[in-house]
Amino acid sequence: MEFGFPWWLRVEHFLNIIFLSFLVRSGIEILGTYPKLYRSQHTVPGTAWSQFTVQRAAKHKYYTVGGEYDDYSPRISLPGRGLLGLGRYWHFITVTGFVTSWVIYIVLLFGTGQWRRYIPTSLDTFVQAGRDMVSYLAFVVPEAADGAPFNAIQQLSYGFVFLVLTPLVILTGVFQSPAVANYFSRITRMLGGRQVIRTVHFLCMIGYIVFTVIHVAMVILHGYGYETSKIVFGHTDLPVAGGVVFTIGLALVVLLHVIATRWTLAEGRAVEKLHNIVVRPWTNLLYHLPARMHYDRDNVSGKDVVLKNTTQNFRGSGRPPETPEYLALMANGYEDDYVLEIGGYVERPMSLTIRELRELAEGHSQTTLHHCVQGFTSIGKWRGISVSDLLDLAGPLPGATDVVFMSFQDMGRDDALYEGGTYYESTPMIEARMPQTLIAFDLNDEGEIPAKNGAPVRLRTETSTGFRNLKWLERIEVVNRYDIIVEGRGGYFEDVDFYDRNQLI
Amino acid sequence: MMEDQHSPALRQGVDFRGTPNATERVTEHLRPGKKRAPLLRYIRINLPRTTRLLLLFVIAVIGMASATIALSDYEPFPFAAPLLWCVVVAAVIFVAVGLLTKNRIWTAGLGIAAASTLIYVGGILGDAPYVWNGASITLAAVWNITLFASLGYALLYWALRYGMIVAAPDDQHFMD
Repeated sequence: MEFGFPWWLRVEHFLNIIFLSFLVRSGIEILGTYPKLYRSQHTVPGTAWSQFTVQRAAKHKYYTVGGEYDDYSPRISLPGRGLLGLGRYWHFITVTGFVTSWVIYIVLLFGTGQWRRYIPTSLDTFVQAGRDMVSYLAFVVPEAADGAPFNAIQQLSYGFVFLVLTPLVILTGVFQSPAVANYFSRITRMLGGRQVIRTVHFLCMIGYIVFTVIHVAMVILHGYGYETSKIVFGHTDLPVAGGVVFTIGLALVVLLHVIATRWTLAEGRAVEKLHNIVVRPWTNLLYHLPARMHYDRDNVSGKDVVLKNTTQNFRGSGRPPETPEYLALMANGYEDDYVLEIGGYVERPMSLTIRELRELAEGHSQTTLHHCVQGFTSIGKWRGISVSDLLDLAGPLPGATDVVFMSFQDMGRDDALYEGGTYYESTPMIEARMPQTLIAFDLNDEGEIPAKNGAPVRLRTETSTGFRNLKWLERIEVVNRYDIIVEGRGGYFEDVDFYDRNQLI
Repeated sequence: MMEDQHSPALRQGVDFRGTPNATERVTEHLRPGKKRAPLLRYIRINLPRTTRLLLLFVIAVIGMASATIALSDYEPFPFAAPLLWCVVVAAVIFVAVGLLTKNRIWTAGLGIAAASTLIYVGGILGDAPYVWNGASITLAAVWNITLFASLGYALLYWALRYGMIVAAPDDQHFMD
């Protein structure tokens, strides 16, 4: 068959320049908020295989991971300045286009027989690719085989990028989602655990960058006008026009980045709206994937570094409440003084002590993987009672739609990194009713939860990223609408920063 | 001068007093008046054994490629063969020392890479085994590998000195 360069292939090539460049820049933004990569499923301090920060490790640190942000330049990352939420918005908006485009491309490749341009039909292609590599090293440009659009090494490298690297980056991207990773928990472990998946995702990005550098070098080596004419017009007859048009196209992509960066830094809420239109339709589907993790006790973070007190290694984030009330609770060991209130849109408002919670829980526990939105993970065994059981006790009134969790923490008072406001989160009833959405009062069978991890009682919403797992829980309120609470976005970080209430990815 | 003889931490030599990052964020490599460090300062890879093996591998490639050229009928310039064999012997010693000891031999490796590059330059001025000089494609590729591997080693050496990578027995000593 005559392969040529059909129009859809040329369009896809141009779209990929946009998608990949946006994905790389927003990906760097996401990396910058926890700029460390690991080789095991834990994020044990000191075991990273790479770091991308110039910040010196803090002494006397209480694991305020928010302080580990590195604000990369907006020239490198999108949007830069350590704005994780907006970086995530761009990553997911672009991912929607990238994956859609890739699926359409694959369908067209196989539907039109064009797959032969990438997939070798004979083992001779591999032998020829070796010869081609030797030719390049000898400064001799190898010719394409008769009827083929590229030489063998080009064929194999393009095939690798489309049919190996891209599925791998999509797979490892999908498994960054707490909802997916915790629903398909066995696959997460088979892939090496969340941190290994994160590392592979990063290496895929490096793969794209290396490929792009070599690809551009080869285009120049083979003849810029000749090659760009193929990808612009589908033939080699107009090398000058091809070069000019393609260069203008590249300039437009650069302009698009400049506009997107400035727009994001100036109008974050507008980017949020775009995200909600493009991304929410498919992220809402993830509410159908309730977490169903059952890690072994041996998986608990800290075991692999032989620490007696494994809870030391369950990272925390944020500062505990600094009120006389909370400090008094802490001083008295919580047990006699702490009371969890459950009220709002329920038939039977109630308050429960830790002892009563323990009795109601009947020894129930779950060993689960915690996904911080910044990127760290820890595995811990939590004892507690499911929110669903508590709701059954309280009896939500007809029309109750959401559950609001209030913390003792006031961000402005307790954490120098943020502005004031009580920390709260709201979950839709579907998430609150999930089997592993838990009110926890014990971590790793070591007694009460430490202050850094949310003592005495905290929320576990295993399908969402970490900040929605509210710590230092004071009160639960069932409501029939959440959009009239504070700024109406469903939680503290949703209100003051740029995070979607749907944190299933 | 120890101020508090009763402090267990101070007696252990742990003294964080006056350490800025005990109380505030401390960033390194910032130039005066700049908010951010040079881009490459942000990259730190901590794979010491892999890096050590990689450095040894690159020198081994230089040695093997040089031996191939020396054994061929092609002489890049008069008396190139003894020089090529010197590079081969140095590469063998380098790899052996690198595998059998924990010595930091990376500057010596740079000498081998530099010698190999000089031989390549000599070939350009003389009669290098390029295809257009009558050499086979394979021999021309091997000849160019001596250059690419040498430049690769120089790049790795620079990254090592810059702090982007570390080779065993050294370590980045990440604290977190």
